[in-house]
Amino acid sequence: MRAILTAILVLLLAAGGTLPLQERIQGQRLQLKYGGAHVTRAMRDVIGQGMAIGLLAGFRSVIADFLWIRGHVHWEKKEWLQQYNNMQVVTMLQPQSILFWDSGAWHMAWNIGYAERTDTNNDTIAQGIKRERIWHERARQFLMRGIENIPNRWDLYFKLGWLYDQKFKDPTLAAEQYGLAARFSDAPTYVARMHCRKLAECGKLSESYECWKSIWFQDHGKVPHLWNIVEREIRHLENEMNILDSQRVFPQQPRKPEPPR
Amino acid sequence: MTDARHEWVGFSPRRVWMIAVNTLTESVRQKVYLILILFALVLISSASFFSQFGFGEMGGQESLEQLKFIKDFCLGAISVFGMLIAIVGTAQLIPNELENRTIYTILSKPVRRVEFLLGKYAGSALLMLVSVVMMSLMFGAALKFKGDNHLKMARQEVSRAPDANAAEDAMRQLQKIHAAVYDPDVVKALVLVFVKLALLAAITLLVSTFSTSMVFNVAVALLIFFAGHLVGPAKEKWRENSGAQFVLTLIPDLSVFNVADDMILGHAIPWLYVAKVAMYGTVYIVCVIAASHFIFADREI
Repeated sequence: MRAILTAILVLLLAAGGTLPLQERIQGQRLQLKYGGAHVTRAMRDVIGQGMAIGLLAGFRSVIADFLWIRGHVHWEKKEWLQQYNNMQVVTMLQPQSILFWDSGAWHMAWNIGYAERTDTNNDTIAQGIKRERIWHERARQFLMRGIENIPNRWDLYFKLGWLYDQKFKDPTLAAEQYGLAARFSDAPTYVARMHCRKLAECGKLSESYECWKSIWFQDHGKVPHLWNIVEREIRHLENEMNILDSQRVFPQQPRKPEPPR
Repeated sequence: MTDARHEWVGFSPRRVWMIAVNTLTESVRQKVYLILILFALVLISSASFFSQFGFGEMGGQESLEQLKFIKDFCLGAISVFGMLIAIVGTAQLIPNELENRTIYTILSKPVRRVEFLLGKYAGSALLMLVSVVMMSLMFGAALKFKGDNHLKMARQEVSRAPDANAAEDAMRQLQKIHAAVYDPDVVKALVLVFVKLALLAAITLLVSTFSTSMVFNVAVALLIFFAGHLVGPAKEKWRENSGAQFVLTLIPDLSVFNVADDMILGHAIPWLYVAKVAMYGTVYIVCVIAASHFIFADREI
């Protein structure tokens, strides 16, 4: 009996002794944004008992991957709502995966949207368009949730901008999102160019001009922009906005400014 | 029955090592182990084929999806099979010795119970190490095999790009695929998987010091494994309940060892974090082995 009590005491010491370390680890996990959603009753109903057990055993990502594959099966069978529910659960399990948010929104706005519009069961063309727009809106909300979960990466801002651009045909909102994506230093250079172009498209010519100029005055040796395109756009805006020759980046006199080093 | 305090007099690391090597040799020869490791290796090597279900063409975003699946699947398989090997392999160590009556011969020689226990645990830990290394090598081979195909396709995409924007995109994709295939953080995730399995083996050994049934040992160890993964959420849920908090404190939080998911998603895994978690695991292992020693030293054999 004494041995058992000693053993329990040792285990209590282990638990108590590691408590500060455990708290530090949890603190660092929070700081590093580790982990995913906790298992809820609603989630358990969608994923089934077997997968819920796997989830409880710490195999969150494997379950998410299998659900994602199951989502593809729903897609092939044109079971859009099941696929949608699946995407919701997958992103709940791995809210930090850009891949799931990006591909999920793309499925909704492009694949499912198109399938709904061209569905032969639609009575009228307008009905098809209406059904397609519902999926555009779902994709938009999905991406917004993705951004809430991953605000520190450029990818989803850009995808939302692309959605506004291609499906909502709204250059103002697209420009806003492209602008947010372009703030990140690791964003591809075309994101900044698309931002400037969309600003011009929605009538904000002076903002667009400033935007192009800010690109032009970057270090041409370090930033791999397509400088000929930037020059072309600046020249075009300078002509369109009738900028005074003295204030132009590219004056009409045959004097080409040296690109900054 | 012996006094646990006198057990350390004349302690011999050599005897511990001999028992460890013997335990490892015996475990490797077990059919259960061979079947488990074979299944694990087959499953891991087939991950690249599974990944093709529903993941489109190679070269684009689908490449990253497929590589993510391989990493998730393989690390999951290493964790599951490692857990099974740790529990089943350790649960039978003491009951088998008792059933075959070999323990009486061993302990009647100048072998202390603490040496016997440490030797058994060290053998089990070595078994874990061998298993994790074998499965990791297979995982590396599967990832490289698939990854090289994706890299080849991505390079072709770069050379075929119709304009500069597409070329920039393709180049980025190539870099992402390269980073996914040759990710050094995989090693950190595997180190923590090993520490988790070593802790699980220690807990199973503790259970087997007071139980004679292997089934009971396996069942209890499995329950602790599941409970260990639920400690984090449970602590959060019952923050106000001090009784529940106390009980939860006794169970090691196994979820802190799971960094594979976060590593695959591209989160950095600092060495400091790995060191802290490894230290947490090691402290627990030492205490669990000490508790096992106190119980085993007092056991009627």
